[in-house]
Amino acid sequence: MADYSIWVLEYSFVTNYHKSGVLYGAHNQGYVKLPYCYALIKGNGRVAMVDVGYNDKDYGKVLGDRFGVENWRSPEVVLGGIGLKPADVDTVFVTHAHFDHFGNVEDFPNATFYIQEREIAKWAWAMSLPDRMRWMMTAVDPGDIVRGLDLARQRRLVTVDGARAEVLPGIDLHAAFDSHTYGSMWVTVRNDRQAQSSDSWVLAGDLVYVFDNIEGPGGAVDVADPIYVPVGLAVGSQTNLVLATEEMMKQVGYEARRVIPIHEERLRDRFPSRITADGLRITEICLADGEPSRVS
Amino acid sequence: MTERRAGLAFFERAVTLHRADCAALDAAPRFAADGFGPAERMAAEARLSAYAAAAEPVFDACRRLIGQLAGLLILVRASGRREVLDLPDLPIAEERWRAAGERLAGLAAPGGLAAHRARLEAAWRLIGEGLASIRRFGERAGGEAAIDRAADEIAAAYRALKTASDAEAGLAMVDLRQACCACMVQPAGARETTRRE
Repeated sequence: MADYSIWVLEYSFVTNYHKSGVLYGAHNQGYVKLPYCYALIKGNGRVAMVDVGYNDKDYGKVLGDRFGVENWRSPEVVLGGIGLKPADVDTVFVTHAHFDHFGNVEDFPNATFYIQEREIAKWAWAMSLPDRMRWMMTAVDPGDIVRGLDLARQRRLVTVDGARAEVLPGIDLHAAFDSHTYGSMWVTVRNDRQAQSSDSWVLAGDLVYVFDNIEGPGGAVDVADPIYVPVGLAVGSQTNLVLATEEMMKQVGYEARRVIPIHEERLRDRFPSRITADGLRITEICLADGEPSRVS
Repeated sequence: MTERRAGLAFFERAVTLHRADCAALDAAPRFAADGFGPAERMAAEARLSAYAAAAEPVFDACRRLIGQLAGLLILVRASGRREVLDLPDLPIAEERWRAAGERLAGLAAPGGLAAHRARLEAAWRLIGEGLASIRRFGERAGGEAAIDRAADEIAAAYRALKTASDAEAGLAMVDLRQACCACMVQPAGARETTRRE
């Protein structure tokens, strides 16, 4: 029995991203392709997203010209690949406030958004710091915070303080404070609705970029087995990223394939996937009972 | 900071004034040099470089104040954390706003750049009004209307500032240089057309 279907939907990508950005310590090891994705969860009469990407109108040109981000497609097009529309989305879990995760709330007019209170509070604090400390507010668009304020006024923004169980039936939120960002969050789907689930999926946000963050090369520290290697960017600490990874792995019974890194190009090697006419990938993580495949 | 492409097109856009909520300003102006002869072009670029360098601290202060105040208002609205307005954050914001005003007062804007400066000033003024509304909320119990007014003023300040943004000139709404996902200038020759199976 499975309550929810989960897809990872690519909406853009950067062809050459420095590997040290996704894997701590991977200096001078070249470039990897970095897909930009969000996740969609459908079941129990609900449609939920994990993050919403960014709005190309605001950032597209500079991202394309300066950072090589290509092939952005709107949520209308991307969700259309699995037969849904942005207006169908009733819930959004914002894993953190970086522009490429929280930068397109306006395209989801019927959704209620969940974000960690600490994520808002600490970014506001970071923006108050002296200019010489401005690195601490990197990649956050004040416009996204302004749009978040508009959501709050419409009572469509829910701030969460730490973990929250059953935010939807079988879906839990977990905090990883002072890690990738000040108030990062991951989403756990217990697809059998059991408290001690044997069918859990973790949607990791940017706490895990790629498989190697979980099954990294142990040789770097002279061990034969894989080790956790945190992502390259943390405004908090890599230690907190490793601790969050351990917690996520516990939740899935240490079955690494159940922790979903949305920036991982090789998801297509582990899960059924297809490339759309727009050149973007749809990866089908799991299907609810009775839900038809969107990739076969 | 300012690219050599800065020039006449920006001057032309800068002399047209719009209301802060005008749809014509949805696309931020670009600093670009077209239609000049070589000597005029160099002079125009030099003027723009000097202006953009002097305007950047004001722009950045406004950008950060907007984010900071919007964040505090979210905490009041969505989290019910009214106490955040009693923290030192607000006096820090007021001091940054005041310092930005002093810089703005000394910002020389030759020729058509006066209109760009007017956009910065509009954003700065609206932030000041937002700060005043937040203070009124603190002075009168249950002043929900003041919080709503502050939210409107900060949103208007954001729209005004966006019309004065230009990433190529160093006036960007979001700093992407060290960001998590887009965060490197592409190496020469690294970008290729990607083929997907």
